[in-house]
Amino acid sequence: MMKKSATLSIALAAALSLSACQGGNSESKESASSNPTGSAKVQETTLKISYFKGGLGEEWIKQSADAFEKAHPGVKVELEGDPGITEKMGPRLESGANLPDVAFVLRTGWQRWAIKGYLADLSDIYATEIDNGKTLKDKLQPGIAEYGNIQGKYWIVPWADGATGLVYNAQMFEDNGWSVPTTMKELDELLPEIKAKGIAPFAWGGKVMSYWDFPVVGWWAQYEGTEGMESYKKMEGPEAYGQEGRLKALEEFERLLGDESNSIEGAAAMDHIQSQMAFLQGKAAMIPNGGWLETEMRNSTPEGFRMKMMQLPAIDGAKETKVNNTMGGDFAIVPAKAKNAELGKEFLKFLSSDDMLKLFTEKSGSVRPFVYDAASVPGLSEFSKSVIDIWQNSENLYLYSENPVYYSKFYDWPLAGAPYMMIYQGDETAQSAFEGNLSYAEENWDAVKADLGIK
Amino acid sequence: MRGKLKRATGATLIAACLVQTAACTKDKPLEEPQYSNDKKITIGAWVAPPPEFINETTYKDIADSGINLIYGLYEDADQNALKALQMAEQNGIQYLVRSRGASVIPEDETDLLDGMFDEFKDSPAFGGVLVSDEPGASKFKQLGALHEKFKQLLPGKHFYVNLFPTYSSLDQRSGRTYKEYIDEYIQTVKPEFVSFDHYPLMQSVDGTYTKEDHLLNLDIVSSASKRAGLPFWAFIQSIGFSTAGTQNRDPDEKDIRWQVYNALAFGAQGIQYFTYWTPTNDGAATFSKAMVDVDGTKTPLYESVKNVNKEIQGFDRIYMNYDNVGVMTLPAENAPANLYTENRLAQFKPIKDIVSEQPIVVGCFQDKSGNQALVLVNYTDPASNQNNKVNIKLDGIRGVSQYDKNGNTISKTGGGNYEVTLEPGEGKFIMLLK
Repeated sequence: MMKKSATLSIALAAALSLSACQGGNSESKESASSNPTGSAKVQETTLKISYFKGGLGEEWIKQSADAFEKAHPGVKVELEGDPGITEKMGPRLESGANLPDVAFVLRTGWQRWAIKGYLADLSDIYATEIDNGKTLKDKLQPGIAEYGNIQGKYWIVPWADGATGLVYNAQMFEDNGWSVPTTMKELDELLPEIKAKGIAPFAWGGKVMSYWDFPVVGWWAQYEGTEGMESYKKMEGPEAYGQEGRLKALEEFERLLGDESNSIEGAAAMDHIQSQMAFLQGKAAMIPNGGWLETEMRNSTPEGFRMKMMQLPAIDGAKETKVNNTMGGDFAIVPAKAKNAELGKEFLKFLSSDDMLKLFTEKSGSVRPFVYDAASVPGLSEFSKSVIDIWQNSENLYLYSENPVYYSKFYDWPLAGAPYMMIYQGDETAQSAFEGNLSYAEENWDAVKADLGIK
Repeated sequence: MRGKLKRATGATLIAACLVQTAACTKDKPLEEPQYSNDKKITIGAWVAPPPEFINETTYKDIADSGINLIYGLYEDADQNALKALQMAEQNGIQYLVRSRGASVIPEDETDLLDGMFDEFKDSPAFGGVLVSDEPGASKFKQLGALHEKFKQLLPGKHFYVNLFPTYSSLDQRSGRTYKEYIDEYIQTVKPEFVSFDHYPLMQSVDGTYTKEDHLLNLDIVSSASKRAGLPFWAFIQSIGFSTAGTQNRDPDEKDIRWQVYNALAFGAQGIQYFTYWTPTNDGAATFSKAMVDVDGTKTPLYESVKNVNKEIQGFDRIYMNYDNVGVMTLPAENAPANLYTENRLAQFKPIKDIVSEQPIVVGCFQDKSGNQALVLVNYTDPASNQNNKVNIKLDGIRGVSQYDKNGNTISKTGGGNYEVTLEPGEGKFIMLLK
């Protein structure tokens, strides 16, 4: 496929390399085909969109791109789906090479990108009316409307949202007459019943241990309640890491996985696909996962397999029982040096209309962090309905802090990341992991602040 | 008339000489330039056998694999390190003592380094101290002060610091761009070499791929090192691991060879395996198996790494005499994103043209006498199992001496044409013979 280009002489190739590097992301050419009148040529502009290719599938972006092209004659959308796009964006933004006009990436520290001047200022599109008299900012879920704001400007648009926690095999539950547990006590009572049928209660993958964040953060938030989590997000000092709910949640994890019989065999060596396959094969009754599971596994799901997400069973002492750990934080950016930055911004506005939000839900089975009637989207699966039901009827938690100590250094488990594998392996206990993170935060708080130039 | 005759005679003589020289050169057997020194490439490895596995057998295995510098991880600067040094000495390799204490010494208290390594420094196997892994730029000033003192106390020993890859975050680098980060390290710490890690072998649900910024990382580090007159050492991924939803695949021999030759193409004077011994899982990563598993059993990768090490040790005494002039990547037109570098070499005089079926990396080298060499690499993802036919038209080159996994072959280049088919992951060190 590269024979033609590789036969170029070195000198010619060298000359061409510059243009390849600088202009690879965009092109303009004369085109009559996209001109609705067919009478005069219009300038064709390419909008390059890079996106995380993963659990949400690709149909949502393909159809969104088609709709945008139809609404914008002369625009051709070029799509780059890539499971590794998030980690690629940092080097791309720094080097200026291979830049898209818009990128949809997973949660990562975008704030430094903004400070470095790599991102286009999106404040104008936040203030633009999208539909029904509402601006983009008005349309965002209240808990995440300020997520993209630092230094008085908006730099990102929140992208994906949803519900996470425990997904269960609905048919298996019904066939065995198992009630969906609403409390941890009920879950504890259910576990022996599941095991008595020769089925493991949980499928999970040791290679994606952070998936246990979905229920664990949920239990933590249940225990602390909205007020407690808002206090945590203010991150006023290292004592934030001493919230009792963190310990209680880790203890639930420790107790569940401390009993080997609660897990499928070989879980520690599995990745997310392997563990999800085991769940779909009926080897386990539940799996810690999120609203993307059905779309991600669409091609591997046995016919007739039915799954739902359960409202996370409530931890003892919960201040609020209906809490949803959205794991929100994925976002879209327009690189400041993008060839067609304004068109990229136009695309982000376009995607924020009710029609396009519903298209996203219809094609991905998931939701975006906007206020819209996702449940009314026709044709949703049983699983998607359960996810959207939780999302629309819970206190949605968007776990982020505007404190640079948090988003630059510490996040939620400052010592060494989420401690689940260490607890599972017995290298730590829930208590020691909790205390270790708190001590680390206390010991390093001032130094990190100084390092970040915060007084 | 006389004068004319003289001139004519002179011209005739010159022409005769030229003819004679050409004839002589044509008939002259192809010979490699000879180098009197015996320079060796550093082959390091992260994670030495843990304390309970420090013994003659495990250290002999390290030496047999071709690794000549092993880094302590689970043993600190303690009795275990002393034992490790003893085993390393018996097997003719060097050992880096890990010191958790040295890295936290404040810059105004560097006297605390006095005597800290006295019990190790007289061991012939003492290579130096592993001081810091992936520091942010905010640590450089302190590291610079420590290094200054270290040089006085332990001249000639490694003050080992390893730097972040390009795909690290701005936060990890204390807000510096990657180029700023590397340059600031060189200026502030004043190291004897620049070490960095980058693990490019990936796997996703869709299959395998290699990191897009792999060559860019080599390019930035090698260019900065070259400007500073320093060598650089590159890490080689020799284990699979999972972190936060991404999966670095389990490498095989093709993957190892591919990484090593790409590092050599940019002029690396040290390669380092991550890892030798399999580390235990932590909160950030879940590991598969490295060259030796957690129980001390050699894995198939041990032999793979050994093969590649043996291969490059077949020519490192020559390679180390050459300076990297730059790196070409092809194709240039419609190049895949992972071929992007900022300092792409436009031309290298003996090369008139290159034709390749698939992407290639061509490292260009020259020694102090003007002899030239190439490191040629098949830059397709080794896991995609693609052969890559390459034809290079060379000007004024009669032959090549080629080093690769099959050893050394010297051959003539008919009409200046050098043609080869590179196997997946394959690289070659090619001396251009005039």
